[in-house]
Amino acid sequence: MKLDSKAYILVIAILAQNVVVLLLANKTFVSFLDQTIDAYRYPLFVAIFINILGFIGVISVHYIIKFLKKEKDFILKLNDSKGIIDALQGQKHDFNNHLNVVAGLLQIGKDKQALEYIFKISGKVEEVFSISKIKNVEIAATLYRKCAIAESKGIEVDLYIDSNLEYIKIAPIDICKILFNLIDNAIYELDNCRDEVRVLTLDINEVDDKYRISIGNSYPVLSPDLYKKVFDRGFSTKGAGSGHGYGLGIVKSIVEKNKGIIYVESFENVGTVFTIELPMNVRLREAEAQ
Amino acid sequence: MLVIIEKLIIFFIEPFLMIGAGLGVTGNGISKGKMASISAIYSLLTYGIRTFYKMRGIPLGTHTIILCISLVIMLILIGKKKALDSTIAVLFSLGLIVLGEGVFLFPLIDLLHINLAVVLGKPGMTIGLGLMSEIPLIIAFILCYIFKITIIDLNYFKEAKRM
Repeated sequence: MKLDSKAYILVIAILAQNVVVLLLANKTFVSFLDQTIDAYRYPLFVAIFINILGFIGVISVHYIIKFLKKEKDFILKLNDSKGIIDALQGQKHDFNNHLNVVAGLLQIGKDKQALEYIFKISGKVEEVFSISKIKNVEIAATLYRKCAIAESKGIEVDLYIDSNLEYIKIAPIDICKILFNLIDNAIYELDNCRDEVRVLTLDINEVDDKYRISIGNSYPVLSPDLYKKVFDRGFSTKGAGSGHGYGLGIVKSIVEKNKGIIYVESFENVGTVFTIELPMNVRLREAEAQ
Repeated sequence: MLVIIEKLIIFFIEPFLMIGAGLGVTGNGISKGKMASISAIYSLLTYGIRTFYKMRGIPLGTHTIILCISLVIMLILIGKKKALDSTIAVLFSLGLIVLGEGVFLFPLIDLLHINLAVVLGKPGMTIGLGLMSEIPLIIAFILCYIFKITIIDLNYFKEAKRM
């Protein structure tokens, strides 16, 4: 059913309930009056109709909640869009700074260093702009924001984006929760490590009919006996009694709810990598291909 | 005779306000000419139905449903409005009339110990009491039809569909 028809039916149902309630209230009022007023009397079918209206009330509430949920999703999308705009403004600011450095190097005759600087920056720009390949605006916005946060903490961010995630089969709010938790965890661990080189890795690719998103942090390295334990509710490496240890459990339940899988691997000199595999909407992909 | 004229006048005022307030609340406009012609027909219809019920000894109640359906049909045919818009307009206005009865008319009767059988026979009282129950409708008419304040803006959904 179309949205405007739904809205009309919803309004009519609520107004009909309103009229019925008022009529019944007035009937009660009349019964308290001293004198006899020619009170309205209704046949049985009206009574049945009133009961049906009562049931429709539940459906109305259901639709109102659904509309509110949609509105919430739209607000989230809007916030994500604002995030992208902020990130792009940040990029523009950085770009101006880089141009100033290049201009300065050229002015003092350091041509070779200027060229090296350009090569270095162009690689970095290419990497950051690879996020814009992602067609899912919520994921792109989350990655932009989180990468900016990581870099502001001095963490090196390596991006390997080989998929646009166009047909990812998951609700935007769910994928955002997953990414927020996993990337925040990685940033937290790297921020608290004393290693000189701290690397956050994001790898997005497609395998068969699935999307694979890997988030890695160069520190810490987990022992294999913790691979399953980290997803237990209440388990945390951040210290007991701090309210931690629920994020990964939530992430696991969201991934499984969306028919995906999540696992963790850890290697010496590499760090810990959380990988999620989520299904692709194959029907939509094939329909669009035709 | 005077009572009949008074009844016809109040039966004319009521749908006039109902159409203006009901359609105005959803942001739908209608010309005063169309409102007046629908109200004139509705007025005669209301009088006819009420008299018929009285003659046959049928208790009032279901006549409201018949009148509401008639008003919706008239809004579709004469007012050239959509069925859903017309239904919303009538239900909204009816709700306000019933609210007016409950909030203004019945408490007044109770407070002043008015004997309706006696009072309704006096000149001007039918219109007076009728308008008493239509206070919320009059307020809605002023706000929604005259000042064009849209409370249930369903045009938004139509615009969203076009986008």
